[in-house]
Amino acid sequence: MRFKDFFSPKFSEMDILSLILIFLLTCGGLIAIYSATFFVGSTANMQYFWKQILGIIGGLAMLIMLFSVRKSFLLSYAEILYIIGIGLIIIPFILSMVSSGTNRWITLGGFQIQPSEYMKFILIIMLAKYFSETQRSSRNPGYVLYPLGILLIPAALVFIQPDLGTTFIYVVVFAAMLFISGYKLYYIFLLIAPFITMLAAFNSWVFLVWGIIIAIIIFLNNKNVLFSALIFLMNILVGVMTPFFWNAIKPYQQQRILTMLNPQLDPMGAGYQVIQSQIAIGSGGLHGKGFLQGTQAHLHFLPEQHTDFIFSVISEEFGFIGISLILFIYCFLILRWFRMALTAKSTFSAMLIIGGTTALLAHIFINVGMTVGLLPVTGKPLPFISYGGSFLMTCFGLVGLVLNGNAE
Amino acid sequence: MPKEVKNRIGQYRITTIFVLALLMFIILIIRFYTLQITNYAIYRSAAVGNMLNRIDISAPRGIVYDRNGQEIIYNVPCYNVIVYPDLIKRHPDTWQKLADITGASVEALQYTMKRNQYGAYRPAVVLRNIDFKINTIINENIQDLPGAEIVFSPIREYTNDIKSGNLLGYTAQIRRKDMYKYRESGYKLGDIIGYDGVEKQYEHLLRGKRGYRYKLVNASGKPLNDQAYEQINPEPGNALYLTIDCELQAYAESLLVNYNGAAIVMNYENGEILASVSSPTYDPDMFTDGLTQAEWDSIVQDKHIPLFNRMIRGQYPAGSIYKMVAAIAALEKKVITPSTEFECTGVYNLGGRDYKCSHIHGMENLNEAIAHSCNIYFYNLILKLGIDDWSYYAKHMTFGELTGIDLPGELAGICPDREFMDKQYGKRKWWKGMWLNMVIGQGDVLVTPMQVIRYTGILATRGKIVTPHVLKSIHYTHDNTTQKPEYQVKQINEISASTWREIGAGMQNAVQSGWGTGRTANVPGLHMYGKTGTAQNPHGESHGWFLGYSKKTDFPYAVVVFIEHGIAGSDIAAPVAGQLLKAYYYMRDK
Repeated sequence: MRFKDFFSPKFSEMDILSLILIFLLTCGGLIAIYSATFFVGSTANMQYFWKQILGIIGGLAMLIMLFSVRKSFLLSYAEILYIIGIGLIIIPFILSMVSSGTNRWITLGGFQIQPSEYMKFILIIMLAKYFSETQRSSRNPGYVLYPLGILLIPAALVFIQPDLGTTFIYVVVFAAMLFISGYKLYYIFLLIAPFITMLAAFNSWVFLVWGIIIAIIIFLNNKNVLFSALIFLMNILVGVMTPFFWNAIKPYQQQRILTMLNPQLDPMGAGYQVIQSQIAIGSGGLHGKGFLQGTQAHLHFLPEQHTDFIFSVISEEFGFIGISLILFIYCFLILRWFRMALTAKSTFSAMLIIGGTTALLAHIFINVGMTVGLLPVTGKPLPFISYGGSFLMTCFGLVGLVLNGNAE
Repeated sequence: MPKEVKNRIGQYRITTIFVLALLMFIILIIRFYTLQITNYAIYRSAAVGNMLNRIDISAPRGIVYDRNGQEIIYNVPCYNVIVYPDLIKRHPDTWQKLADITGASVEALQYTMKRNQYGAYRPAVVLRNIDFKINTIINENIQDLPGAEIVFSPIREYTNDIKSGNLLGYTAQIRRKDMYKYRESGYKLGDIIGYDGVEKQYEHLLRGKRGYRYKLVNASGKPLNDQAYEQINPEPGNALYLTIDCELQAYAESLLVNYNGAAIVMNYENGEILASVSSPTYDPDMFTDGLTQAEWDSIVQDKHIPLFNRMIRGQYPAGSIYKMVAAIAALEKKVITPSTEFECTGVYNLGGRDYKCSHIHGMENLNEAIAHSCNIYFYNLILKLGIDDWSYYAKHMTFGELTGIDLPGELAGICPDREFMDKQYGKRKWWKGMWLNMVIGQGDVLVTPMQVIRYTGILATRGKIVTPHVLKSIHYTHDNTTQKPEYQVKQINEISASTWREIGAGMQNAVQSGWGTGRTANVPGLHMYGKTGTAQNPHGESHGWFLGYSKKTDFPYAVVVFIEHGIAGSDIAAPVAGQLLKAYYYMRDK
């Protein structure tokens, strides 16, 4: 096998506008990182700045690699990649049993590798392969079981790391691709319904209303009365069991679950962070306080300001105008990519585009939603802007996949 | 290799996702608009509040001068040690180091902090008025004392020429139990506030306006540098010029030093108080540094009760100084004429009870009765006059009401009338014998020295009712202007000139005749008028009263001296009154 069998760089077909806009975003990120790591009373710390530039170079390499890789290669080796990916996610668990360490990272000669990041590509490739091959049978309810399995193995592993944010990204990517694949909306509803039932079970009135809604939907969509009744009863059973299970666990365990779902419940921790973030954003006003003039950022009021809360730094220093510009670029890119899925040459390409774009959109929304206090603090960075080489490479790689899908 | 399948995905599902994504960005941009544009002001001030730590700079209180421009209350520089409760909690070593430097115990310092603390982030005073040496040591070692700081804060000092705590008042930290009253006016725990006297009465003029120093701090509350980010300088309080003459006040204090009582000198034309002593008094400087429990106990338990302001809160039987009320009423009601005579046999019997006089005066007319202070003349008179006309004129003399003196806590005394007596004893349960007591200022009659000085003024001016006051003018510091407060003046018009003349003649004889009871108050050349009073009281020796005034042109001064248990008015009160006016006459000449 030769190099040409794996890669076919087709730079003439690369979407240059996407690259230019991403370049603009990373420049904005560099400026923000310089500001976020510059503190009053101490000399400028350029270390983060240079490391980020290294990360961008690495990211570009990743982008080119995933852009150039042949789709035929991806289709052939998807399963092998998937098994390797799962293996890598398991390795830190084994290592942490030996020595005390986090479950997320593998340290290799000074570099830290976070396998759950690379799993995002692999998951997209695996799902794209499945959904492009079996699209004809998407009217069959059992159609979902195989991709669900593909999702659940890495999702479960990442969930117990615990990394709720990444789990959520996996689920969102899966949901978007499943939806695009043409799977019946009714089946998607059946998948989601038990989770809503669990939440509804905490209030008897809500539970009653919800029960009527699912009953109507189920019996309208299904001719087989016996089968419908079975599905309905299973939902009700889930609902009835939930409070029972909830009350059976210890209060501190309840608390832990609640805090994981909404960290703002902890006022001295995440609650404080969100308040300070909102103060930073709000006090930026229309024009912002100016580069290096953000008091919230430079007096250490913002937590994690070069990574998770970098958008608050930008908001404070460049105001509503600066924020609108960045959000516009993001929005433009995301919508442009979604449109590419329509014109893609194959379903597999379209699925790669949908998967990559959804992953990036989810990251953006989770991060920005967190800084403005709309979503819980999950500690997910902002694509192309937040500090962090590993995450930059993920984002550039996702763009590579998207542009790859668009090419040919 | 597997074949790629042609793109067959549905357009409407892509469009749905496309619209959803657009919606997400719209939600975000609306949220940013709300935070950054709609609620900008809220978050802006929150950010400023975050980065600035505000330290109060206390304003120097206003200076108080006497009528001649002598400083009687002023400020001296003082340095306090403060601590930031949150910072020092993280650096507990600071306590021990502070204790080593200052010689105070850690417990005492911590106790003081707790007493002065409001909130974990506001500095609390732990030591007041540290001396220069400790100040220097702390300043040199300030780097090793995280959480502690020295702040400048002026403190009050009172001239040593006079004590007069009852008149001037004193300043002290707001007591915790009083905070609820003052919080609304912007006071904080640990603030200095005026208690008693002028300091309390004119607190709003004297307090000044607090200044602030803002320091840039980081998220852990640590100041970034020593420079103030912004400083709003305090506005000193306004200067007050009192009507008090410091020299006369000092002299009055010295005359009363051995007695419990009060002495007041007033300009009867305008109500200015030249001297006003409540004896024994206390030294207001005592309170400035804060009293120890023992010091406080010794003041409170002193049987001469120095904190008791006898000038305005002491309600005493008036004794014979009240007799002019009955004389005026009788002349006005034509019950008597100036030549009407009653015989004094030393004792008067009414309803089987004996009512006594000090001497056997024989036949007396009004003039002699006032000069001799004959009780029996007035017994006869009140029985002819009746209580209603008598109390009507007593109220004209403003007894039973506040004088309006600009000092806190004045009491109104009692001016008994029919209604009062009915209430006090029940209808028809009181008898005419009580009239006899009341007409000579005994029984239920109670007056304060301040009421008596106003009464004296009314007698001297033939009906001019002035408002006694100690504040002459205010010098506003913010615009350098001076304002003279207006005081109410009223005039009694319904008393005839002949009546005033007769009363005046009696009071003149009482002092100037050589046989009157007030002759010891006479000061040749000052045209002295006066009246003594000896108020019996059930608690021991009688109280001595003297009221008098000078009729000399350009010397319109009235004087009242009251001595608790001073035997007769002629013994101590009258000579003290004479000495006061005489002394002031020469002081003024100088």
